[in-house]
Amino acid sequence: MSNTTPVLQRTWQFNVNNVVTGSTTQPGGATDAPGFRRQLLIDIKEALKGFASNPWTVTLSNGYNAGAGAGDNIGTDIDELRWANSRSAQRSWFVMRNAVLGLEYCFDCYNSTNRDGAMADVFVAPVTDPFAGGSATARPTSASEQEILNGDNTGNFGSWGSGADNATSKAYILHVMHSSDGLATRVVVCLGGQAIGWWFFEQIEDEIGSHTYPWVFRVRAEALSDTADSMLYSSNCQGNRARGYDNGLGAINYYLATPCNDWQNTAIGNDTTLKNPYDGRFALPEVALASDSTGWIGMHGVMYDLWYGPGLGGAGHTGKVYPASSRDFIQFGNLVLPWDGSIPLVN
Amino acid sequence: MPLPTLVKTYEFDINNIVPGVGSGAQYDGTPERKQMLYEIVTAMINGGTFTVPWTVVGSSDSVNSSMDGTNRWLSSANVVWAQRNDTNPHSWIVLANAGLGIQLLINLETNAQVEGGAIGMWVSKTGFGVANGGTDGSITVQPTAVDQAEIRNEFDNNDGSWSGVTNGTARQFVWHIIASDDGEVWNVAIHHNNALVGCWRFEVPENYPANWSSPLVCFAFGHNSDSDVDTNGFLGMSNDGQIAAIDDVRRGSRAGQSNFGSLNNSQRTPVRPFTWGWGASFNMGHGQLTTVHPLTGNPMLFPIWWWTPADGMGDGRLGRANDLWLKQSTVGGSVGDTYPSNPATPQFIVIGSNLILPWDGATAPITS
Repeated sequence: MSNTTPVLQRTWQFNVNNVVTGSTTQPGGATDAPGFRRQLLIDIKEALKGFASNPWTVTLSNGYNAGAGAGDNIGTDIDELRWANSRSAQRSWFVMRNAVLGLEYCFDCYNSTNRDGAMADVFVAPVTDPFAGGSATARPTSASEQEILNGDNTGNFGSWGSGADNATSKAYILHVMHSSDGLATRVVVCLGGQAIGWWFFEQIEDEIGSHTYPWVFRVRAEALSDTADSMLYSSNCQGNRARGYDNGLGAINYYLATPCNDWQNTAIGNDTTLKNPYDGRFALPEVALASDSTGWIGMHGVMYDLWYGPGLGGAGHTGKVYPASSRDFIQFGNLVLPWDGSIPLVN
Repeated sequence: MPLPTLVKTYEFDINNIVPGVGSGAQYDGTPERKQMLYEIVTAMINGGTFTVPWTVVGSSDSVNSSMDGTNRWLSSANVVWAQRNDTNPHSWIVLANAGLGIQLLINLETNAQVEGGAIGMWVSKTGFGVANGGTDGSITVQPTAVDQAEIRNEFDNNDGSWSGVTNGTARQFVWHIIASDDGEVWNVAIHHNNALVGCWRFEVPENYPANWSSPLVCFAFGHNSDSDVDTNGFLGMSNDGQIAAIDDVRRGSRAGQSNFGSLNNSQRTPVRPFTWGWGASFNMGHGQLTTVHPLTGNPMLFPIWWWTPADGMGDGRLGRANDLWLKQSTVGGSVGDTYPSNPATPQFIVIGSNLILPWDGATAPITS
């Protein structure tokens, strides 16, 4: 556990403090996404593509009007991004690749009826068996794909982090961070001071055992809600809130474990409202990965440059920065991430 | 899970058998308890075994006493418990360790006929005796220190127990001392019938917070039972009241927690052990894993961090326990088992049902 200001294990690239707004127009009706939600997803895609070092690339996509094929056929045009309520209906999808991590994810704009584009199907696959095919009415597939988000699941594994399933206007704050070595990508979507969307694709570090696919990832929100914080202990440590991959075991769940006292049922950070009397600092416990998935039970490694922060009475503390002068770290919910030193926008 | 890499180098005095004899005088200890305590203290001050041994600051053999640096515990006959009333002669001893920067008082009074089953232990940073602002004591009264912190309460059968049930039943004990060569980590383990019935630990935590001028975490566990103290959960984290630290950031007096109901020391900082946890109520972890690691095929070992709770004398982490781990409750062997599985190279020992310590790499453990 860090006893001093944490030392970063990676160098980070930042694309943060992006205010995202848009119209409430839903070309396809209540199943389709309003303009502000389509803008958010495009901005996430463009941010991942736009990093100077080891950016993500769009390998395949279907623009609603432009059609399906190699590359990014959606671009920055929200009219190319459309949802449908049938997996055989015309809709948009795209595949993004991280060549360094060796994985792809496919974002398929499918959700059940009248979900306003707040949900989607998302799959991951290794680049050794990439997504292929696809058309205007069918997403590409991989024999090695695993589902990590389901557009029918109105619970935790359906919402992609854009808030409640309605067309009420929302003004998001989008933060995207990507390590220079390409091994870690994080997306935080804030709305009204809450981190409602929390994505990451990262390499498992300090592995315990040898993993053929040393990944941990998440593309989901705590709930279909404009106010549910997705970066609390409850959403990361106390439920099956992240995923791993093993081609053969099916879905692997990971908890983001924290040092805690199980008799007291508390995590260190969640039990902390005061600074350490000796060094004047809040505790920042590191994050480890633990699984209870059959065939995968146990601890598997850690996540670099990610810590749990003070619970401060149980509520999140989104937007708090440490130290106050240099703003090297930021807290979203209960999680602390590296920051670029700017004054954060969360509301 | 790969075997851990030690952060320190250790010296060992292990597999010391003390045969059971049985009851003697009812306030004084059984012959084996007197003999064992004599042997443990003698070993702790043995510079032939340990690079940074403890030294004697003062002692009482119930006939003579002084804080003159003389060791009066020359045999088990000099290790005398007596009924508490400040007029009955009894033994005590004050030890100091330069690596830890503390003094340790062991006092042998009791208010019940427990045949040496209870022991009093205190630690002090400032030091015991008049020379350090305390008192020198006598053959009837223990010495004191201005900052003494009680870690074993000789007047309580649970909080004072150090070697099984507090009665005179004959018990064969085996004691072990595992200490780092810099003197900063000391472990004393006492087994009876393959159970860890007593466990003492004094350490300067790894990576303790800056500005903690008296870094020390210590405990002296026992339970009025011949079963493993670890199954009573002291480091299975169901007990937060019996681990102490020296707190040089005064927070004033505080109410003792239930486990210290009879103790009253405003300078003791209750300390909790923490390890990795997850799941609902953070109650999943080493205690719930029932299989070996799926990729390594080995049992999983969990590190321990020390922590003071917000409602205590401090708030925050105190560092990490050096070379001490929790194993899975139902996986990874029983008391006395060693890792790796090759018996010719026992680098680590299951010292208690859930606890792992370094071992000497060569000797088959004796725990009964």
